[in-house]
Amino acid sequence: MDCAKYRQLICADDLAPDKEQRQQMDKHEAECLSCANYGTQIRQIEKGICRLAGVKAPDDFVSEVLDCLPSWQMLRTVWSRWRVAGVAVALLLFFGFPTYMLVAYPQPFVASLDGSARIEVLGQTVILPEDVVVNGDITVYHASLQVLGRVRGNVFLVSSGYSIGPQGKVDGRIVFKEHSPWDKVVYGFRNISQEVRAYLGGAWR
Amino acid sequence: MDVVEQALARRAKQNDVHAFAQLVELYKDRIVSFLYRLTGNREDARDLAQDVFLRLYNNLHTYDSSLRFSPWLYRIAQNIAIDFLRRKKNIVYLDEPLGEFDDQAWQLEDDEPWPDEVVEFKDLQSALEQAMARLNPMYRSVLVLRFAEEMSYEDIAKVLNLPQTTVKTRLHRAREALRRLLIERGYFEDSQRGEKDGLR
Repeated sequence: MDCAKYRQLICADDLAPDKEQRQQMDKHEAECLSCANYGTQIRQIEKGICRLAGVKAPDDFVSEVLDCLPSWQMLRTVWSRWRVAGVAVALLLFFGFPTYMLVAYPQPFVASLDGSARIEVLGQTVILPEDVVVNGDITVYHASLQVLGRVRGNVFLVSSGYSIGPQGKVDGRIVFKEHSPWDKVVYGFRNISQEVRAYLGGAWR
Repeated sequence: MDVVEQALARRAKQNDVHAFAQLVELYKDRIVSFLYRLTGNREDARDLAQDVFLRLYNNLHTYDSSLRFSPWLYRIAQNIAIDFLRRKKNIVYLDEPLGEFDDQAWQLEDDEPWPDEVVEFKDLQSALEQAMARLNPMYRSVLVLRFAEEMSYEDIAKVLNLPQTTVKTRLHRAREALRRLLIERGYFEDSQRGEKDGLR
């Protein structure tokens, strides 16, 4: 083995020399002081670099790095983590509030089998005018009924009150009923569907 | 290990801060040490390491999670260190390609006196560390990656964005440059004298 080959092998740290090459290198080192020195120096350099001092990161390094992350990135992160909850909250607010309003403050409603009877609804008040006669029962939801005319049947008051004027008269019974919370929800949604139908009907017309 | 890192990187890429924090925890000491070996200053190394991880976070979307993570991270660290050293203007030839037979490869970074004129070297290790500090950073980094970080040529090539053959050449020259620096200062004997004398 000549010097060039020896130095090539000693520097080729990715290729471990085989047994025969190792023996040839040892032999060359024994014969060539220059290459023996060279080999020693190269090994010392490599070992020395291996032993180069390192530095530990400070204990709070991770938190410092996280603190430096841009806030919008953090928001993005929070969003990605909590987006399902976020969407749920948004939907709840969007649909929940009107629903709550409809349930908590239900729209007054009056039902009668006598389709020809003129019954007026003013705000939360249902008025049966003086000259009006209802042939049959009427049911009033969530309102205050003022009977100025005549009802030839029963009056059902669902979560409602009533008053009868001097000319007013109810031939049948007056029955009170309170809506349960569930009934209120059902009633609320029925109102919503009626509003939507009315809106769509108006739009189509 | 690689699988874990790749999985963490994949999760971090999907904005999982906890996965990102785990990656930082996993690599913080290695990156700080790597930067310290390149810059020679503890505080700089710690500050730069923070930059490395922030840049990592900002560039996670470009990470190809089918590839190994550590060479990619070291590449970021290497670039940040080189930018930093360039800003410090203690090297003027970084932009120049390192020629195949660059006689200046072992040149000192500046004309400051050797530290033994101020502080006496304790031993060869100290001399080697001082000599490392005076090497061209490109040479310094290839030596550190190979022998301190114990990276394969393949990984070093990825970190430095060079062909493996160039990495080998550069490593050889870096080692030779370091050796010559140590010979200059009398820590090594000039083993080429024999050749010059026509020994073999």
